Order: sequence, then C-alpha cells, then structure tokens
Amino acid sequence: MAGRQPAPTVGPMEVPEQRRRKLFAAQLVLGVVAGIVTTRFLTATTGTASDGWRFLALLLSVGVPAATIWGLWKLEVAKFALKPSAPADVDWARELREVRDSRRVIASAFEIERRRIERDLHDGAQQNLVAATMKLGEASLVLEQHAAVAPHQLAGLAPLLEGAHRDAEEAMRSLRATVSGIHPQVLTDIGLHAAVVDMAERSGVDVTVRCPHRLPDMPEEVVAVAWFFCSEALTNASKHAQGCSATLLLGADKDLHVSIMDNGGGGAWLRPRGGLLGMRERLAAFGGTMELSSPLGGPTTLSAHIPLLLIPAHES
Amino acid sequence: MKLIIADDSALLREGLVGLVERQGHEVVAQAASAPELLAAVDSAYRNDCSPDVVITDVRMPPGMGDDGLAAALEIRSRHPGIGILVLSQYVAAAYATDLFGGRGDGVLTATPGGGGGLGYLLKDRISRVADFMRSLTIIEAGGVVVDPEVATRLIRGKRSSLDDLSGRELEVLELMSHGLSNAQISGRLFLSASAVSKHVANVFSKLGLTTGEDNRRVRAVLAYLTAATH
Repeated sequence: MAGRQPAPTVGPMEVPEQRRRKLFAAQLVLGVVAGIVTTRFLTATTGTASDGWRFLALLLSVGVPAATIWGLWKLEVAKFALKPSAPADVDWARELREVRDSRRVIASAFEIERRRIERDLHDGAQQNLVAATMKLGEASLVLEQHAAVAPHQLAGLAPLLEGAHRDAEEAMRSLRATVSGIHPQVLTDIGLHAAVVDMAERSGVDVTVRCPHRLPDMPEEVVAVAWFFCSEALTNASKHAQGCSATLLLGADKDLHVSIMDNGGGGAWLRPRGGLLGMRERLAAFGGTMELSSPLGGPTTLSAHIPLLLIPAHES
Repeated sequence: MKLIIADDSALLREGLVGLVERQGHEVVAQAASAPELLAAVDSAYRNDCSPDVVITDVRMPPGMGDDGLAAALEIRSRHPGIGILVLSQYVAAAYATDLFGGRGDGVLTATPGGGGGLGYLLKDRISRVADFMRSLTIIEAGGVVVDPEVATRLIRGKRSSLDDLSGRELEVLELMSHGLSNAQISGRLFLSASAVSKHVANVFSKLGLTTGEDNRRVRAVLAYLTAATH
C-alpha cells in the first residue's frame, strides 16, 4: 500500500500543528502592529499638521485596518485549509512493516514456547512414566516368578500391579499424542516431507503424499506453519470426507505450496472460529495465504502458499 | 549378555541398568550422549570386552535430535557384529527405514543371519519385562525386532496385509529380506527377471506401497520381518 500524497500547503518536514501555530503567531503580530500603527494615524488626524497630512493620516487609519482584516482573513483561511491533524506524512509503509514484524515475532515466540513445552514434557513427565512402568513391570515379573512361595494374602497384588501398569501405559500413550501435537520432533529430525508422511499414516484418512521434487532448506517457522496446516487439513478431511481418498501435494518455488484435494462431497466452508480460519490467520503472520475451493459435489481443494523469504518483494 | 546402555535421562538409564542387571546381564558401560556412546563402544572393543548388544535412545545430546540413531548407524558401520537396539519415545516409520535401510542408499543394513541383530522399539515396551528380555535375546542372536506399531504404519495396515500375498510372492519377499537383489532372486528361484519384477511389483501393490514412496523395499521387508517376529 503506497503512502498518501502530502497536502500541498504543508512543507515536507512540517506537521500541521506546527504550521497552524506559526500562522496564529503571524495573525497576532499583524493585529498588534496594525493596532499600534492605526492608533498612531488616528492621533495624527486631530494634530496640528497641515490639512494634506491629516487627510493622508485619515485615509491610512481606515486603510490599514482594512488591509489588516483582509490579511487576518487570508491567514485564517490558510489555517482552515490544514486538515485537522491529518497524518498525511506518517510513513504508512514503515508502520505496516513494524506491525507485520511484530506479528511475526509473536508467532515465532509462540513456536518457541511450543517447543519448550514439548521438551519439558519429553524430559520430565514422559521419562518419569517410562521409569515408573519399568518398575511396575519388574514388580509383576518378580511376583510371578515367586508365586509359588508367596503367601496367599498377596494374591490380590498381581491384578493391582497390572492395573497400575495399564493406567500408566495409557497415560504414556495420551501424553505422546499430546506431545506430538504440540511440536513433532520428527519435523526437526527428518524434515517436512517425512513428517507429513508420518502424520498421514496416523491420520486414518486414505491420503497419498506426493512431493515430486526435493524441498529446499526452509526457515523453521515456515516448516512449522506448513506442518500445522497439513494437520488441520487432514483433520478437516477426516471430518468432511470420510471414506474418501485424498492427495497431499508439497512443492516449492519462491513460496512453499501445500495442497490437499479430496474426492468427497464438497460444500466445505470457513466456519467462524473454526480451525481453518485460525489457520488462515497463522499463515498470514508469515505472509502466507490460504485458498479453499469446495463446490457442492466436490472435489474439495485446500491450499496454502507461504513465502520462503519473509521479506515482501516491494521492500527488497 | 554384555550390554552398553545410552540414554540422556539418568532416571531412565539407571532404571534400565538395574532392570537388566537383576535379570542377570552385565552392563559394561553407560553413556549419556551420542559421542559418549561411540567412545564407550570403541573403548570396550579395544579392551576386548565388546558388548553383545548396544541399547540407545534416539533423542540424545548434543543435538537433541536423532543423534542416537546416527550413533547407532555409525556403530553398525564400525562394528557390524554388535547387535543394536534403538529405543524411542515416539515411533516414526521414517526412523525405522533410516535404521534398517541406512540413510539414502536403500540397502538393508540388517540381514538375518549376517552381522549383529537390529531392533527398534517404543520405550513403553521395556516395561513388559519378559517380552523385552526376549527381544534382547533375538537381537543378540542376530535377529530383527521391529515395534508392532511401526509395522502397521509401514504397510497401511488398514487396507492391506501379508495375508493377501501368494505363496510365490511371500517367497520373493523372504529373499528380499535377506538383502537379495532382483537378479539374485531370479537366480535363486529359477525365474526370469521379468517374472521376479512382476512379483516384486505385486508385493508392493498388495502392501499398499505406491510408486514414488520412499524406501518401498525396506518398508516391505520390515513389514515381513515384523510379522515373522510377533
């Protein structure tokens, strides 16, 4: 978006308020000077000078106020011509760049925070659970091995241990699902393509992932936002296109392109407060766009385009 | 058996060491990072107390990525006779194909009967102690252990399974699992090259492995080996 043209009455470096103050000062000085001069001439009309001088003084004591009023009026008009505090020369381009940068910083901070949570869960709760189940498993084994010599009062112990073991395993499973939803380690280890294949295999949707050309090295945030887009798109497909097959295509030029097409019934739309709408915002934070095409009867195509260089073309 | 155990979490490492020791095995060294593991294996090898099996976590320092997996591949190339069990908190087919297929070349690094065994398990499996000990024994004997969760990923369990394969196709798949190329298989089974490639293509399509999928051969073989060990 180009900045608006500055108003012609305003100097290049002047803010309207400053200009208005100067015009007001000029009015004040003009008024005072004109007052003094007129008083001087008025006294002269009643003095002892010759008729000619007195006539001239009379003319001037009428003319000066008239000229002053005309001058004041002109200055007033000039003042009003100034738009009330019009931010005409605010650097819109810079302002916009700052807002976009800060949005990106917030989105990146969000990403860093996700990774921290993932790491904390991985290093903390997950390890503790594994260690706990190891002990439970070993306890069960010991009990089993010594079942013959154990007093009958301990008979109820085995099912209790087994129950605790199962509960802890269930906790591990659900924690694992949570952790991989927050930020998948595979994304860092094996890259977007393999991580998306892995996700597709888990999704329950019959989806084929295609990536005809090797993806270039991409900024971490771009990879993360693309991964979340795929996740959202697959969730969407599993809801709206059940029993259908889908194709996910990954490709890159100056942008990263992700498209998912399914042969379901179509009719999908961006629901207010829905996941896809949130996804569009998330993409926008990185200068990305999202398109949804879903005519009734299908097919539904959802695509995202994310610039790999985070500097828009007109600024570079 | 003699073991080396690597995990950056002291809690888990100590727990695992205690567990295997109480089951009558000997832990010759412990490591908390990938370089430490490589150094421990090398020094054990030099001191003539080479481990039978190395157990390592995937995610370890210094990179906190898949450093453990890279270390496992390194150990495989330096000391092919040592069995390796890779444990991970999160099972991804891509890690498995990396481990069993090497990185990029698509050649199987695990061939039953030749070299040390190879295993890939979810950490959760340790707690089923008896099964876990059995897995260790299989790896020590040069066998292959693949987490059942990986297998279902590898071949899209929803649509296809090994049951759909004909007898001939299973035979071809078995020879593939021994690391044989199509040409070698045609020599072994007295079949024409085109017949073998037809069988191989059928195996892939029945297992739901479409053209363009990475490491199809490794995936098919892993699925076969998993079905054989569970």
